[in-house]
Amino acid sequence: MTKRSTWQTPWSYREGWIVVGGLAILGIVWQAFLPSLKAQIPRWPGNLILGLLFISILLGIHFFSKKSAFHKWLSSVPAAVTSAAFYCGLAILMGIIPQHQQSPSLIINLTGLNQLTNSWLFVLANVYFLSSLGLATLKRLIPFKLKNTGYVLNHLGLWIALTAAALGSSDLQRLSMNCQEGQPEWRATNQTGQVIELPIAIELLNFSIDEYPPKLTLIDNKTGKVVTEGKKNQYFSVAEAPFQLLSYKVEVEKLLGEAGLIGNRFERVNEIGSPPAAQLKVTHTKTRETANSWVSSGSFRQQPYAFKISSEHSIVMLPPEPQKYQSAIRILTRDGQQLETTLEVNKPFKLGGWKLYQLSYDTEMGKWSTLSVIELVRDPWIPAVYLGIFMLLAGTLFLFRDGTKKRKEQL
Amino acid sequence: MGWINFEGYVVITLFFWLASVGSLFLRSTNKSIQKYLPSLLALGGILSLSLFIIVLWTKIDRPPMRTLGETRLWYSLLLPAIGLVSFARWKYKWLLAYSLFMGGLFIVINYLNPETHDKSLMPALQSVWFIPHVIVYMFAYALLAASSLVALKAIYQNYCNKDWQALPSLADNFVYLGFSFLTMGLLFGALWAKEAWGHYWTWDPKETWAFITWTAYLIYIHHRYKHLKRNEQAMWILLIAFALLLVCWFGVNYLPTAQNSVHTYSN
Ligand code: HEM
Repeated sequence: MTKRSTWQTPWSYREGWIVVGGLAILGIVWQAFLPSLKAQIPRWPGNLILGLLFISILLGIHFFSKKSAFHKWLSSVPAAVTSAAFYCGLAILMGIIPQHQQSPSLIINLTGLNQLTNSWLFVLANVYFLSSLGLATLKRLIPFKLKNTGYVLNHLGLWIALTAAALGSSDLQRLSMNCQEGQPEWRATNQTGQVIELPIAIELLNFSIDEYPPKLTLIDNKTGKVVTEGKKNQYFSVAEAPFQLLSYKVEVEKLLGEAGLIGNRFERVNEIGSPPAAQLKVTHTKTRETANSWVSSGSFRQQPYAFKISSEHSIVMLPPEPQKYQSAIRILTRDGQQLETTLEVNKPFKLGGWKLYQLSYDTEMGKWSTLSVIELVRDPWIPAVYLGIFMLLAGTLFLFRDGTKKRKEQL
Repeated sequence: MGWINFEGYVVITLFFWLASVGSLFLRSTNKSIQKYLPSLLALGGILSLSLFIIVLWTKIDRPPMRTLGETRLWYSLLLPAIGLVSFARWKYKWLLAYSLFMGGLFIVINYLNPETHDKSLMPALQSVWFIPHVIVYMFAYALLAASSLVALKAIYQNYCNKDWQALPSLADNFVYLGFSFLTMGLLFGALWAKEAWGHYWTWDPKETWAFITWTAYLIYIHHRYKHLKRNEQAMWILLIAFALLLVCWFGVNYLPTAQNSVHTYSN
């Protein structure tokens, strides 16, 4: 191999790393010394114009500077590898430095490493990556050959998904709305905390939670911590009874979904904030001694109730975990139309350009919550992102097939 | 509780796999025994472990794919399965032995370190995407782990000045398959996140590390495409990529960014 000096054509990795270094310095300096020039994608239609401009530049380079060393290099594997490594390096920083919060380090705050996705560094890395990927795609897209189908699906798909996601980020709206039972609400807050009035109102008709059966566990009377020694499982659902906790056999004699303490036992009651309770029979496996008492998880209204089985240990009931929570809502539009539906986690509801999600509720109140937090999301660029994603999914099948086939020919 | 009779399955599975490794190095005059016995024994262990997973699944009434311990369980199933298939295809004894060893190691870790396996599955995980997403990821991880075993072996052989030229192309086979599963897993995850959390990508720590892992293997594939002869460099890229994968898989919970993650489910 003959030695090639830097910037002598054809360019390769060395130039790639120099470009990465240059962009990194540029990004950091820009961020630190020109903080007023924020790295922000313009809103519609600015982002569309920006996108078209980017495509035109790439097409221009592809058609009009075919032979240039710059084009050859930017559409080559060394540029792909160095730009991917740059992106990967930034992602590692993002994966180590907590994001979107002040950092104790002044340097991190100043250079924007604590909010990398909004920093110039990230923008420049993206531009390098997408330029390289775009030109590599065009190389085999125009003119198109059938044998390049897999290549085009992978590369063009990724380019479309990433470009659309980046450009669309400024048009993405995520609002959260606090809905109280029986009170139509039309104001929502966006992610920066601004209150926004919507053309629709949402009225929470009913919020409900289905719960898993409560779990029992053993705690240490002194520390209040769950006892783990010598056991593989610390938690048992009441539905699994009878079961063995250390040297005790635990049986559930009575289970009440909503109960209140009356004297020293629990009775079924029908009041808001009544927690579940269970009457347990505990038998010591060696001495055969038995004891009988109640446990209850407690709620925002009632104290938890523990069963002290020895001087060291007590059995306690944990608050039941939600299996499913849902909001029955009525949507009211300005022109007087009404619509009723139910929102549930993983089952959003589409309305115009919006999607409505069940986000959360008053966890303190649990199943008696009369508050439901609903998220409203509008992302007009999503069809383009999904187009890219589905092209990529189709592309993985080609990789699956061709990857091994090509190897086989060489073996 | 799922682990009630885990011990029994552990013993049977480990017995099969040990016997399989033993029979790999058995010198027998009977050619067909030498040919099929290791595979059959390995398969026996795989079946017994599969049975356990099925029993566990029905018992806890939800897919056992949530906690670290449960994913380890899948790993200890899929790694030997991949080892067995590639043994049938390429006849690398050491690969089968390694994968059985790794699978066995994971089982032993699970046995010594069982975690809580409770029945509840939080609402965000109750989705049609859950099972495909996790299974595809487990496959990807197992294949990519196999590729890094090959890389380790190659680097070791190189160090000992032994011939290792056939190994990189075996690693490639695993990486291509593994990477297509990895990409699927990533994309299924994005589609699911849109349904569950309203946005397909939020640079949450787990997502960030999944992306890092993905780019690392992307770099490997492109490096291989362009420089098929630079084997040694390639093997090192593969090891670094796997180190990043391990961070994504185990390490995320221990990083300073972890408290912001919506993806850490185990308590
Ligand atoms: C889903 C992601 C990707 C996959 C699955 C993928 C896969 C591949 C494969 C299999 C090849 C070999 C082509 C062949 O065998 O004919 C290749 C080549 C190439 N890829 Fe990618 N790639 C991806 C992303 C990227 C990215 C992000 C870049 C650039 C930043 C890139 C740039 C290139 C280049 C420059 C070549 C060489 C093309 C040539 O010289 O003709 N790829 N890619």
